[in-house]
Amino acid sequence: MTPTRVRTRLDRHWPVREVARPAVSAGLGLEQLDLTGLTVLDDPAADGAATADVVVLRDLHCAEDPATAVFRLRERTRVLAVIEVPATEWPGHEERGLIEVLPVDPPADPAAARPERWSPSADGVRELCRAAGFTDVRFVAGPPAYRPRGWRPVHYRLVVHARP
Amino acid sequence: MRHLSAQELPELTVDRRRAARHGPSPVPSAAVLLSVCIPTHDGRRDELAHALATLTAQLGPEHAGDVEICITDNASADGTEELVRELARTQTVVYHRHDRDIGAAANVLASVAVASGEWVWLHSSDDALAPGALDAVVRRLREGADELVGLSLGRARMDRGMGREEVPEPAAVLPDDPERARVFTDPREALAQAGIMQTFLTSTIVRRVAWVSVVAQDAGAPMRTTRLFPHCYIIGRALLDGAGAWGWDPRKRVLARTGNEIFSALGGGAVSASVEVSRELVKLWIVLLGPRDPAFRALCERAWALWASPAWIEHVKLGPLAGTAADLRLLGLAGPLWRLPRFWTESVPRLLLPHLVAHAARSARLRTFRMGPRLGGRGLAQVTAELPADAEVGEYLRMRCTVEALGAARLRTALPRPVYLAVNWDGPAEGRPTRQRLALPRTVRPGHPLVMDVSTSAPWGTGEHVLSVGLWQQGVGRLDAVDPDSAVRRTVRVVEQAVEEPPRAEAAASRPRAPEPEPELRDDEHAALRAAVARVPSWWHSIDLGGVVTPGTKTPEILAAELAGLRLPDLRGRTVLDIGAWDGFYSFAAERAGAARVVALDHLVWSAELYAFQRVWSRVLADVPPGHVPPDALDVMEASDIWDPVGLPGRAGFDLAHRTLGSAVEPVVRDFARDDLSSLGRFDVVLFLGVLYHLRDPLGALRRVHALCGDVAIIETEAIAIGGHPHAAAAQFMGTRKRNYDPTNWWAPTAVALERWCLAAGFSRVEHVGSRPPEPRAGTVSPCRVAVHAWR
Repeated sequence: MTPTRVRTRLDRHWPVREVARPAVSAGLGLEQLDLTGLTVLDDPAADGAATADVVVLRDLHCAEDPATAVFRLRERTRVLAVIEVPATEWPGHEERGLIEVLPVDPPADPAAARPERWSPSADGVRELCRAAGFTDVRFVAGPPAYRPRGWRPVHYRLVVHARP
Repeated sequence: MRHLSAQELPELTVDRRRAARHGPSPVPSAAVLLSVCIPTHDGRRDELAHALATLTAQLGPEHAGDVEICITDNASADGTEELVRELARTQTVVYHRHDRDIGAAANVLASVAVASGEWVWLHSSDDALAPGALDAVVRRLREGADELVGLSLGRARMDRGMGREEVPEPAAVLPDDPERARVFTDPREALAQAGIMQTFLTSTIVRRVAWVSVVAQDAGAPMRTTRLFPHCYIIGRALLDGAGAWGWDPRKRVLARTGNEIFSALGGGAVSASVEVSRELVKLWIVLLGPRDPAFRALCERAWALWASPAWIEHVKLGPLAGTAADLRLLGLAGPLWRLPRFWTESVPRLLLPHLVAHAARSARLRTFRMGPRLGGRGLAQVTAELPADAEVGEYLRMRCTVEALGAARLRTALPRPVYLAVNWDGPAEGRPTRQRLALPRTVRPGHPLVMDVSTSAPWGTGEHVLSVGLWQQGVGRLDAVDPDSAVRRTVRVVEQAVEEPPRAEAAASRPRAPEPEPELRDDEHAALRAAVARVPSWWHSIDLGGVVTPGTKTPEILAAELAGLRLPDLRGRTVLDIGAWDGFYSFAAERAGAARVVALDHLVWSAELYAFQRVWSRVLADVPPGHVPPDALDVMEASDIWDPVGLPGRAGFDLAHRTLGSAVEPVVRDFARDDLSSLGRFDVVLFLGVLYHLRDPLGALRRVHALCGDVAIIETEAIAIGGHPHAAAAQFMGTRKRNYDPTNWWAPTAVALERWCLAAGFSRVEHVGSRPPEPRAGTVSPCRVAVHAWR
């Protein structure tokens, strides 16, 4: 399989390989990147402590401890981490590093249940990533443009690319 | 006149000869690299103590002989001298106390006159240094400052409590391209770019030989040119004389306290004070540069953007302060007003409104006469206040004063005849505080009395003194000469202090007291206890050990307010776990309240001494390259040589208090976040105070609290209130932007978020206690503390 190569701004820092792996699911901003020769880990929770070039984290909003989840993500990422999470923005507070705390009833078996606990803002994810050691954090999808937001909290899908 | 003599304080280096004449001292061989010059005045003791604490925390053995502290004291009567006496036991200090208030600007010059270092760091007594600042500056001066005559440092504008950064530095203060460290070799460019920054004392470091050479040419010129910023004259003259280049360090090395008194000291309101500042600077820059210099114009634009903004100009033109000399001056400054878009979009339409037209006419009439109302008749004003009958020497006295306008008179705050509240001490001149004139915060109209909280120091000389609180008007003088009702007078008998104690000790009498083993201590026991308390390197809690109160960072007043706000349940016969006990104030309070068993759990702050860690952390921060995230503070602490989980150097305070009070509190050394605590069992009441926001996993921490709790947990934490979203359940994650510069801070939840965390952790019911969270305006957040009772 030979992927179509589209040069992006990331190409300057991107290792070019000849062998491609199948792309992970769409909408994560990876379609436009050259993943040739890179290992991709789509579900880090299911794969022990393995490291990979590209690691995709989709359940940050369900994590018991979001900071530790992102710190672990950093440990397992060699080139690029992708975080996809339902996010919340409070207009007027885009630079505060806010993370919404969702109401959760204590389940009988906390280990088995995976309720949604958090809904971070874009800046909250940036702070989590920077604290974990990622140096370059970019938003691929979301947050929405400023003007149409109004004053009510805005919920949206956030995709973040973070590089060590 | 009150000097320290060498016999009184042999540890101090007092050079009266140099200080007394306020002139330059001969430059010695550069034995001392840096003199930190701190001019201070009456009423600044607490701020000075904070400034010295942050400075000395960064002074290590490697700075011995390189750094000296020079303090010139403007005849303060608030205990500054005792503070310096304490400091002089451990640091090199040059101290001079003037026999009268010589003014703030002259005091700045005097502080440099007593310095002997190669460089002088002008340090305002109410500012502080950021962590790592001293090391970074010393390194810069040693390695890369050969061509410099001085440099400006970036600063963080903190709130009055120095707890959080208030507002970012306005762009007009900073040089162009402010994030880039630069050296300005052209003196005019240096002035144009850094001229505003040079007005801030603590951001300014100057080579002393350059300072001396300017002052030697004409010692009176700085004060003749500008009564507010003589140091700027000296710096500007040195630059223009070719003494060297000027550097700009963009890192925030200085924590500047905002909301200081300069505006109220300059004539009543922000508008008139801003005009004063602008005028002084314009006058200074005309002397230095001339009125046609491009650098002068650039500086004027910066100054007007800061101190006479278009918003203020409009306010004065259209607002209630119109018709005074202030707005005449402002309008003189505001030549190109029509260039502002808002002049056409807002000012012109509003001027067309009839009542504003009438106001403009009235304003114009007043401008013609150029004078404000002159008070002075009988029955125009009334001042009421409760003045004390007795006081101890140097005691802080707080008074609530009510100012009322009677008849048709208005007590105006605007130039040219502003009215002030005057606090005067009459009596023996020895040690008498200087008179105070406090600007009224607003115009006082009939029927709208003004209540002001005023504090003053009792004189340092014993005897009968007369304390008067009255009104004083510019151009008129004291109004009580013709209107006795406009002043309150009382004879105060000032006596010696009964027991020499730290200043905070007397306030401790009104708070709940820790258990005391003995009702009275003998003098020798008292002295021994004081010595033992002084040997503990750092205290977090102020604990009354029976006549001696430990000098904690948390003062007795703060702890009393916090304890009252927690609304502790009845602890008699119950078991209590105090997580994060530190010096044990709350553990001892629980024991005093009748708890059957109290366990004090801590680990982190007991395993390392606080000040030692601050020094280690300062060095780590100084080595972090710009743009990089510092390492985790706990990792740094555990890897450093100060980490001693066996010797427990940080538990010295707890152990001393425990021993002295004869307490039965059980200290347990465990890591709350990581160790297995099941062996401790469950406790009826768990105190989880000021710990949550230091933990990276808040939900896991609350689950642990729930597991240890048998009945109720008292949870208190740093928090935020989000303006415009009062019911938002959100938490601020402080990954890289640590609040209060505390590297161990991680989370600040809102009150609603804390409640959700508690419920998610398994608690069945949560009740908020303490004060209501603030309600900041939309778009802003307010840091605060919240406390809850969480029931199992």
